[in-house]
Amino acid sequence: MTGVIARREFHALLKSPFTWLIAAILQVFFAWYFLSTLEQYLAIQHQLALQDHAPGVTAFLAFRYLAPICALLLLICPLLTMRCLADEYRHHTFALLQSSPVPVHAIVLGKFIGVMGFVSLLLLLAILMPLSLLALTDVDLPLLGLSLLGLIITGAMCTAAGLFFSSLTKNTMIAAITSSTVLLLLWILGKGTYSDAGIQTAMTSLSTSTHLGTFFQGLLDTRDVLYFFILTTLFLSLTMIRISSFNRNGAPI
Amino acid sequence: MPELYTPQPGKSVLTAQNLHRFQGEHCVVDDISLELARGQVLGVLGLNGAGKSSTLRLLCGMQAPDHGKVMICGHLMADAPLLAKQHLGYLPENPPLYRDMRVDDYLQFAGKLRGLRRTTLKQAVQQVKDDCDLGDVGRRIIGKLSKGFQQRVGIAQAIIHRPAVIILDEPSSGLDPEQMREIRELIQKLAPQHGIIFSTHLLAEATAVCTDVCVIHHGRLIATQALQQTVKPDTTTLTVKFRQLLKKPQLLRLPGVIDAIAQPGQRWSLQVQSSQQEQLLPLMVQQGWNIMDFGPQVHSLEHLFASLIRDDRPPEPVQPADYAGSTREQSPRSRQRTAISA
Repeated sequence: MTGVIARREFHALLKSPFTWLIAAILQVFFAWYFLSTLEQYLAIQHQLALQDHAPGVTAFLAFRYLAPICALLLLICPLLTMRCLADEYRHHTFALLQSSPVPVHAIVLGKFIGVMGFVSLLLLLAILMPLSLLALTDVDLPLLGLSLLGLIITGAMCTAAGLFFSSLTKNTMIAAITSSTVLLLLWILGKGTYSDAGIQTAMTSLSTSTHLGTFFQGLLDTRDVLYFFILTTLFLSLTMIRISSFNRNGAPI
Repeated sequence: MPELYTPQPGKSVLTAQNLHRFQGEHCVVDDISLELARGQVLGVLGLNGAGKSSTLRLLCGMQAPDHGKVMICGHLMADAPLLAKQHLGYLPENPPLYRDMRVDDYLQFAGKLRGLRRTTLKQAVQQVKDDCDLGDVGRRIIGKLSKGFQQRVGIAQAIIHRPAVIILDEPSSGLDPEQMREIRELIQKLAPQHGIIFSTHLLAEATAVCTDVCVIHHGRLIATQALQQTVKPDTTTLTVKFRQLLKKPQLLRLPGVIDAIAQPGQRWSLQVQSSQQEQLLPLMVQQGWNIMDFGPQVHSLEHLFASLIRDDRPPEPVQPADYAGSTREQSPRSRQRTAISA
């Protein structure tokens, strides 16, 4: 049943011109950003060559081109998920799911997987750019793979958060704005300076941005993986609780 | 997937017991109990805001009742919602249509949600398109269809898996008379194999398709009634007003008269075999009775409705003469009404 819902969600995304607009803008951004980062690398290449353990082109791109895409996901994923549930309430289609023998977790996971399918495709496009260098030079494939994992894992968290905020309201714009705001808050949490060292540590470890660095340096830290896993699960569970509550309170009409 | 439900004639497919539902302090559904068997078409009547839609939402498990229970085909909605919903098709007040999907894709999706797969799914989609006359619009986008077609797609989604219980919330709202007639025909076509509940505030519609009606007012079920015409299809009920006082045996002696019930004011409600109906008037005249009024008894839901809602009193049978102005809404028989004054 999860698959049925995921497939519909994926197709619904593909049918929306809005999605293609996002994809097109992102693609332009990827290409432009990739080329400018590559140019930067070429410009400072001989300076880098003087250093010990100089970063190769892949390492440079991973850190300067792929890592910032994560921040972009904070805005893009909520835009893709905002319609998932809010639109179903607004157009009364949620009743179809509610009156069908579909468990709540299948609805939530189905929608999550459907959107994640599309997000993964978008991220694959971003990875294709550095991969195109394969024709010219050696590329550190494991590092690229790990970077892709970092991107997807961030995408998963942002999608789950977007889904949750979409389940709260029937207004798509409110869903997008609130989820982006919350994700952004999570992101900048660790960037502040706090007077208390304990709070500083807590904020830093809660923040998304501090857990991302390792992926793009080619390190797989289970703590970071766990952080994203827990947040994704948390948002998905909250969505399930929210949808189960309709039985009691009724869906927003 | 659970096993398919095998119909047992006469056995109820849906039971609701003492349903209550509160919205804050306000009781929107107040102690409603219902029973539905296959072949039954139950019309839920009530004013806007009477609690019809809330009741239907409770029945199909969209919301849990505060008290009471709903059972569909032996499965309790509260304990086994997935099994219960397997046997349920629901069309809410606003049809749950994905406006950007094609009709075929949408029906396939609806079928898959109900657990239909591959060849069964294909057959079910084909069958339901035939039933709802959607053959030509399969490739059309739902949002671009007319309201009538959209409503039919909505019904198609509710019946695609041939559920034992079909719940339709105002299926003919916003349709033109021709589309309403088509929806009615569709409901009648579905009636023998399914138990159908539908809410309406069109009394003519209830008269035309329902085997039973119930009236909901202020969240309470204030009347349940079997519609006579469907109970005994080959009999007709006539209302006759005589000038003189007559006794029941005198009337029962007439050929074709099965039952006679006295009404106030020398009026009699006669149950007559339809085949004998035409000879009745000449026979009565031969007896030397003065007939003031003679006509079919209008099974006036409107009257039932009005009297129930006015003071919650049990309804009285209605005299056609009193309702000459409203007969357009009533059963087609009232059009053949003949009033004779002696």
